[in-house]
Amino acid sequence: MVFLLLMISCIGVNRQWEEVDSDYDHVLNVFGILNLDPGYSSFIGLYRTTNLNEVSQKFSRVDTLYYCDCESDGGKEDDNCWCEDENGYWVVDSIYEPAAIIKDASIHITDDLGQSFEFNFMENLTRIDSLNIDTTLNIDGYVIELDTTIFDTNNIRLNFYVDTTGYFKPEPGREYGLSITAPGYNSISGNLKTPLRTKINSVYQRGDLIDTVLVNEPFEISYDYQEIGRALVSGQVLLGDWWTDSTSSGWCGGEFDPFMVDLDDGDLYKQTIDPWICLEQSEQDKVKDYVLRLTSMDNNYYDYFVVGESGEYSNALLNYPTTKGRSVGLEGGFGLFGSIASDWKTVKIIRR
Amino acid sequence: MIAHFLKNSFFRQIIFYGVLIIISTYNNLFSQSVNGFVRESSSGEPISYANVFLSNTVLGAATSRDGYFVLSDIPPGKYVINVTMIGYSIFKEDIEINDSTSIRLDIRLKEEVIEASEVVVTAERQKFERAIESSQISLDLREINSAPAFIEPDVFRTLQMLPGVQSSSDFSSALYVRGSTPDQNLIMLDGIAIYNPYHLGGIFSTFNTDAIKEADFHAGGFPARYGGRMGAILNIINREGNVNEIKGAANISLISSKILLEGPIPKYKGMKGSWMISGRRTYFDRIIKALKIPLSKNEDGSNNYFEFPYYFYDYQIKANLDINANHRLTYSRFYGDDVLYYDFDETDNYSDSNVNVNQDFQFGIDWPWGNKTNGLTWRWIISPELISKTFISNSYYRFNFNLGFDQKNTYTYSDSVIAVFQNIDYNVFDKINDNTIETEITWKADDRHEITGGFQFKDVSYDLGIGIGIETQDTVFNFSPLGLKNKTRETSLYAQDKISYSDKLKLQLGFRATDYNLHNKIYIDPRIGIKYHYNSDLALKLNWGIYHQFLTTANNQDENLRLVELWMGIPADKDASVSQHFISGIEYMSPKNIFYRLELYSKSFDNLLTVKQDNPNTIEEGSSDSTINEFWDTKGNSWGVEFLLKKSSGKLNGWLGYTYAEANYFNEPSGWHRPNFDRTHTINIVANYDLTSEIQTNFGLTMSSGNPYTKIMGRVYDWQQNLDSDTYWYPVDSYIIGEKNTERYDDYFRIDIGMTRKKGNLFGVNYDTYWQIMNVTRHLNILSYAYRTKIDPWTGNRTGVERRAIPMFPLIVTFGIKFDF
Repeated sequence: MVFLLLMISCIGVNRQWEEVDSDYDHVLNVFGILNLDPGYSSFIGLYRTTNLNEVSQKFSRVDTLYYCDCESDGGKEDDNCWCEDENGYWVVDSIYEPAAIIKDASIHITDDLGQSFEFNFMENLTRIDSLNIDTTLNIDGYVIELDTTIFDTNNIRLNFYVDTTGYFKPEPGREYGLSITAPGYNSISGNLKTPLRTKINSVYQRGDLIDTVLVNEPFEISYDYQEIGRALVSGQVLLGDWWTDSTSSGWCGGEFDPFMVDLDDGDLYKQTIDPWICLEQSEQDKVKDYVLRLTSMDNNYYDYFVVGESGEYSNALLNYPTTKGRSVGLEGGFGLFGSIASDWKTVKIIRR
Repeated sequence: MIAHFLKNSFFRQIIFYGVLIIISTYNNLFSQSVNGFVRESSSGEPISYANVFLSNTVLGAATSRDGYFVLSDIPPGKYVINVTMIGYSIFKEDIEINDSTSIRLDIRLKEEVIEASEVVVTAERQKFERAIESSQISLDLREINSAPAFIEPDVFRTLQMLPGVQSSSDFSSALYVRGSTPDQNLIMLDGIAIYNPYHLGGIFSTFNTDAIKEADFHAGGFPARYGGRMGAILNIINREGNVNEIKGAANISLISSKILLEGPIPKYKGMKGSWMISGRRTYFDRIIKALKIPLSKNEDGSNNYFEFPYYFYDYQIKANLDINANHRLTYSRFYGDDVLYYDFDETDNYSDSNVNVNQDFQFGIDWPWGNKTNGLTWRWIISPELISKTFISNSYYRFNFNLGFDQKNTYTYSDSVIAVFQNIDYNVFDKINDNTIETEITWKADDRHEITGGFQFKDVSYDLGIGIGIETQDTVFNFSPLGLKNKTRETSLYAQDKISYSDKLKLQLGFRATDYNLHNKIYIDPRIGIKYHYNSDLALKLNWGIYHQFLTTANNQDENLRLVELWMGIPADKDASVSQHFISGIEYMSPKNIFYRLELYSKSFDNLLTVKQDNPNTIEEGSSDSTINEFWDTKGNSWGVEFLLKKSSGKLNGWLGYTYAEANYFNEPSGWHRPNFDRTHTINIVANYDLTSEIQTNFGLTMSSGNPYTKIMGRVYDWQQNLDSDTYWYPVDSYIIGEKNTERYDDYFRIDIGMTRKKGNLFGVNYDTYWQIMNVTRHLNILSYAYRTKIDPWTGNRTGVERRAIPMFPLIVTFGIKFDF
């Protein structure tokens, strides 16, 4: 009887999934970085906001990749071709691009000397120097491709506006302006002052100048004093190829939470780093390259990535994060116009 | 702290004038009078609001909550004293008053069915005529039990049906009163503050209704004797226990069993008293365990059975000891716990060529949370007109979430044994320890003044933290990412004077001054109440007051469901939260004792603390991962109109309430916004109808505007950085949200019905059976929406967003049986 009542109790009302639509006045969404690091390019990514019921990607074109000649290969399959009952066929790739992308904008960056540089749209960039859209995780040497239904970035090709003349080379401590006009949207203007590059001088542990860091022990880095500025201290152990380097297996140690330092604090030109403790035992000494990085940043970059958005709204039942739409260093739209300048120092780290 | 008070000139003056008044009127304390208690004949329980009067005079009084009355300044002569109360026989007795005579009467009224028309003065009318404060309502056990309930009667669910009181959802019995959140309510059991008065994440209140005598609720404008909160006051008064014989009652519902026993304390050297003990426990976990529902099989072929790892229980004890006619001691205890537990243990053995390996893995969750209170009250009738109550109490609340993960591998070689283990413990806790001492003196100075004053010393310690411990065979590592401890003391003095200027005009002036040890200032809370009787049936009321609060909860304001509340004292660098109440109202008691009330209220809030929901700048030097002690300064206001029609007697009784309410909060990131519990229009109907003398039916209806929520408007790329050895940024697809809480869910609608059949008899034991059906119309009341993204499986392309309502209560049928023995 009790269970009968409980079953009756569980008769819920009929609930259907319903489409959520939106009627939103779209604005441009900028992601612009003036990168002062040697060998790295500056770029402006330009997108727009999209409706909830709008497709996220649109078909762009078909790229022909290669021809599988099954006859000449004797009908044998390889990693790229599937030759069963085929004489040969062309392999093509359907190219999609974000529905949010804006290709037809006019973008100019001006410096404090009045020089203007036009940035042009470059399509289908998968990599700008070492800048790429990364949808993978590296865990103990395993490269894991993220589920696109969760992270939804897999098929996003980089379509950025870049300086194609090679003349634009941003310099530390200079002011730059940004102007963007795109048909159908409000114009965007922005400005920033690039940071000064700060050099990591030395690494200390147990009070000694070192070139090899012992895991599980705090160590210090020293860097230049600056009159103004902030920088992010980060680090990474270079694990290498897990398949060929057995010491990469099960590595732990040396990791720490990146943190900010005030470069103008003369008393703190040295900073102590407390790495996470590694409890796992090692049967033999393991030595790895350990890259320490000090990334100076301008105020805009600091506000966007460090201060962050005070997103005072949460809903555990939403399947994506939320934002009110941030605008840092820009007027007329969402996004960021910021700048960084980095210095790296590579030492060794040892587990024993 | 007392020294701090004495240094303050304001307090010195108060003490000086207080002593002066008492000395100058000392003789009045012992003038001729009649005083005593009015109690039920069968059980000895005090009867509140009984009408006591002398025939052919204007002298009369209503009994207090303790059943106490005093008629003062009676000229010498012969009189007939009358005591009337609906539901009881009329008491009459001849008395003779001489000079400087005080007569003490302890009166017993026999229960008797008397039509309301015969006894003109009902308890409702007594409250109407005597009470000056606005927005106050008392519910007795009959009213609490007769309202539609979720599985079993619950005082909070009944209060949610009153105008001005809102709930956030069906799953919460927390009280949102006139724009105030539940942490702004002072919930007391026999005067002892209870910090988390809920079971099962708020679905049930901790108060076992079988033990309740009365619930005294102030939605606002409460008098100076109450302080430390700025929302509402709820004082649950437990029964005192039967002074004549041992009696009992048991109640079995779908989720729990309850039992109540009460009886007299044997008389000893003139002392007498009573006791009451009640308890309940849910038994779903035991039923599931007994049913042995197979879940999986072990390697040895034995079964793993399904378990329901949760239960709650509570018990209450109350004992009264009348040392003599003027001194009484009352002990009150409450203990209630929710317990969530789970453990998993797995052992594996295997052998290699030269080693035997034993692997032992254990995982466990142990999560108890609840309250423990103890209180001792000493009531001293110094003279018929002067009564003191001294009260000492302890209220302890804790939740303690423990998660343990232990792994031990033992390698046994031919010549040695090596053990490798790793134990990880994760602990989140919040503990509150409240020690209070309070003395209150009530003095009926003359027929125009009733003065109440006293002090309260409240010492509260808070301990909120997270602890993580890791232990291996060669390492022990403990750290606390969050550790908030503070110890606060509130020292309060208060006084109020209930002044009868005339038969028509009454005033209640009061103040409360509080020294909070973390702030170098004294908070003054003035309170004013005015009541004007236009005629014997119609009264106008005005109440104004300032209310300070010295504690808050650090819960996320947007959380979908709240399991526990995280309490903490107001930090030293934040001002005490403050609210100002302004209430005006008109009350009408019809000749048929139907009570009508229309009230307009306006409240302002300042120095509220809204906990920050996340901490994006965790990479900033000195910032922590937790935001539990980081707040947005918040202010707000609320206003509304409430209408109440209440009929307390007759075959058909109940109430109808309508509320128009607006609440607005402001903080920096969200601007002005409606809090998520705000409901603009609310209609409540609670009705009980006696079909026969054996069958009672009840009906409850709630209609209201939907709760506000924040709408998602569109999508945008937000960006994240990686600045390790490589440099890259990646987009995070995010929803753009609109202004906070500018959309509303569909209107709320729910009808509940129930029936009680009385006077059953099973083997000589009387029993009642009851049925309840909740949400009989199966209306979809939306708690929230769940969202999903439509994705093209071939391309990974998102094609839209869909949502589905998460409902509150569906149709639920429950029943139970109650025995009296």
